[in-house]
Amino acid sequence: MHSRHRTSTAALGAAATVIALGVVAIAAAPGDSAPADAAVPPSLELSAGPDRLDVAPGLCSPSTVQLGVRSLDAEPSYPTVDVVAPPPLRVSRDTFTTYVPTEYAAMTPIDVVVPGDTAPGAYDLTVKSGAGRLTVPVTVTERASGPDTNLALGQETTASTVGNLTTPCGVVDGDYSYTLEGYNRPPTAWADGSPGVFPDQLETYLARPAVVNRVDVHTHPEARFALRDWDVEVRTDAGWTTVASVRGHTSGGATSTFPSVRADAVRITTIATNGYAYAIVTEVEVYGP
Amino acid sequence: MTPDDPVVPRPTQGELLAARWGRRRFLTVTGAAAALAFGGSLATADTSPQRSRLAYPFTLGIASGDPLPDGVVLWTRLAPEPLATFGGMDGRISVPVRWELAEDESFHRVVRRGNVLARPEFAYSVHVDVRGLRPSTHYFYRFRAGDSISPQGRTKTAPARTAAPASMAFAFVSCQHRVVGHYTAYQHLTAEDLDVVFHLGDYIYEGADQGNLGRGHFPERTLLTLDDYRARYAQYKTDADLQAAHAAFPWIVTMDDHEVLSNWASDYSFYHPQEATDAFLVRRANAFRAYWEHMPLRLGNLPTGPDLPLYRRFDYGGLARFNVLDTRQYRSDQANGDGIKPPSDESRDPNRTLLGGAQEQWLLDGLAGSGATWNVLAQQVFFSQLDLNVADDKEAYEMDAWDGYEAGRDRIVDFLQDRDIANPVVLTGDVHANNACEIKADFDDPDSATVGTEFVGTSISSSGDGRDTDPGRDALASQLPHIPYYNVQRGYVRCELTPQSWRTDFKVVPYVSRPGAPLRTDATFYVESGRPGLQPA
Repeated sequence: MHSRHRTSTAALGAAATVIALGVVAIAAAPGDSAPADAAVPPSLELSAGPDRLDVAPGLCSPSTVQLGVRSLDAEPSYPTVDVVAPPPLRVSRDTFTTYVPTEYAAMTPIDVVVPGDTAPGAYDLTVKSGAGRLTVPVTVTERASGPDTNLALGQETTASTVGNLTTPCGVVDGDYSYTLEGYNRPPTAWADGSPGVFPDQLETYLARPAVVNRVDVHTHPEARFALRDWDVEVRTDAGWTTVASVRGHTSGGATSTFPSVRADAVRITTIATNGYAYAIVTEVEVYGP
Repeated sequence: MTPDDPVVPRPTQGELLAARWGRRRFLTVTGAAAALAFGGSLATADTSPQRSRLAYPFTLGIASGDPLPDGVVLWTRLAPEPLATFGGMDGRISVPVRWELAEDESFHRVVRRGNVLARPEFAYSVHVDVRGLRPSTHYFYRFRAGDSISPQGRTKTAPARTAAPASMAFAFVSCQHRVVGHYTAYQHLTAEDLDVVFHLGDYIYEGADQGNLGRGHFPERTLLTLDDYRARYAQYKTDADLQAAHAAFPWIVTMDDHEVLSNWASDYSFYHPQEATDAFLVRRANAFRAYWEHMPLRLGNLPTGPDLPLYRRFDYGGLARFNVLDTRQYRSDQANGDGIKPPSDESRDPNRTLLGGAQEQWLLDGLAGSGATWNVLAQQVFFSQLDLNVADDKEAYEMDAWDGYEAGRDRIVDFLQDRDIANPVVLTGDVHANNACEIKADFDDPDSATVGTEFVGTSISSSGDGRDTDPGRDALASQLPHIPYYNVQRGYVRCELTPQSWRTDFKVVPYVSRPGAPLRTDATFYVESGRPGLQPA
């Protein structure tokens, strides 16, 4: 049998180096009016790592804060923690319940996003449990701009189906690799969830309408897993229109250029692979003139 | 609980699953019963039914389990919106639930009734340990909360300890990944005549996968927090076929890996070392708590943080003793980095254990002290040797199964042989395939003595549509003389015992990707008492 190591150092593990703990200790006020049949609220220590958060605009551009909860009582407990996010902040969990030990903090990751057209600003994320309260300041940063800016980066992306351990957001994360979801690690690519069935659709919504003339699509670097044929469509005031078709692609990235057009969304329609049952896209980039 | 009372209509499964996080139902209950304790003392606080705005709460069905000669556990959980936080309850106020247990389906002869509080700390689950019942007897039970009456269930107590039953019948099941298949096997199982059902683990799966059958996982993330696990159990339990199977028989459950995280081992996460032990133990504590909340288990099995007392024993008179094992919580970490590997000094280290020292000793004591005709190990992972390398001069074994813990297996096999334990039978899940095995004194010597029998049951749905034969497995046949039968379709295993013989029927359905598959018996084997080994029908 292996002995358990429960030191607080081990609790944070590899994440410890990036966690600057903003700690607030709360002792439950004696005589709190609790429901007659409810247990006495536990005394908890709330923490956040990092203790403040920068968020880039775009629903596929999450910033993660690890919320820590530790029991200050002699007994472990199972408190419920509420995460209050004022608009335009959106959180992956607005509440959670967890076992909290006494020797170290239970860590729960929360992803925070804002829509792509959000202006720079400052907001407060509030974490509450019982009498405890912790504020995590959130700064919405400025979007990148300029002619070389990838307009798709971090922007909301959806797909007709989603393969296991992949995500549509993986095609706008600036990462060309095909890496599946792991421990505290998001997938970096998308595959469809309907093997052998085509077409599939992958749509990215730009932060605001923009003039575009180039779309790069990256698929798996190995031909046996690579996408072969696809169409590129853009959404204009007149609706969806096909601006490019790629045929016979074998691996890696392919650039499609087309006459400048004002669009607010880009759609990739997958038509065929080089034999693999799933359509794989590792990145979609959209540029203007 | 009279037929004239207004009854809240039961919503359809589709309506239930339309519920999502964030929708809350605020209910008003006054005069909550003060009974907080579990067990027989509950019967004292018999308050009048509460009139409230509680929507139909029995969306997860009912269950009974862990039958004893004089008692059984009754289970339900209030969850008007099964996928919402606290099942759509407010998360603060406890709610009284009435229960009653009768000798007849019409509830004319109610023999026990009482009130219990469904408490937010336990996700509004209810575990009633009814005692004072007669042995080998069918009972019917139901619950009431607010104006809602639950479906009714049927259960059965175990025989008296001194009884010599002429027969018993049970089924064992495992591995019900809802994303990849329908629970058609449970429809057929519900129609059987059984004393009890054993679930050998993988009741839920922990991933975020969505599949393409419209049975995708909720929440759409790998489970971590207690509310994550609660929502996943609730989603699984909305399945009507699963509910019917629970309502039809008492169940005896144990867990495998996916109730927590794939291939976890004691304090080690599947993500070890990225997920350190401290972090994993929080996940494990959350998983264990939700498991207890959703299973018909006694208060004695309630986890304390990351520790769940789960292994336990059931006697069916002098006919059978069931040792229900936990092969996850106390095991040495998988050898050789897990996976299918050749044996090594590490995997053959005599200090390795799958059961942990205390459970292993408890098992051996329970075998030595048994007076039963059949001595059963109800457990998770493949017990018999299963060489997966097709080459005659090479070996490869599943490091997560008993093959990765050879010394621990040898200790049990040697004990069975040395002590001449009566008719050992191992029941196994995990591998999503049926197998019938003879447990050999020396698996490398086909001529060595047969010490016992192992029946490996396939999955309810995991791995999706299966097939009757598998070329890769057929190629291994020459090195698996002790495993004369396998099948990789979905289904369950039915066993019928008498003092003279044990009959096993492997029951399979041809597909689970769509509902409605018919059932067939793929193979039948007998074991004669006093004569270890498989007898074909």
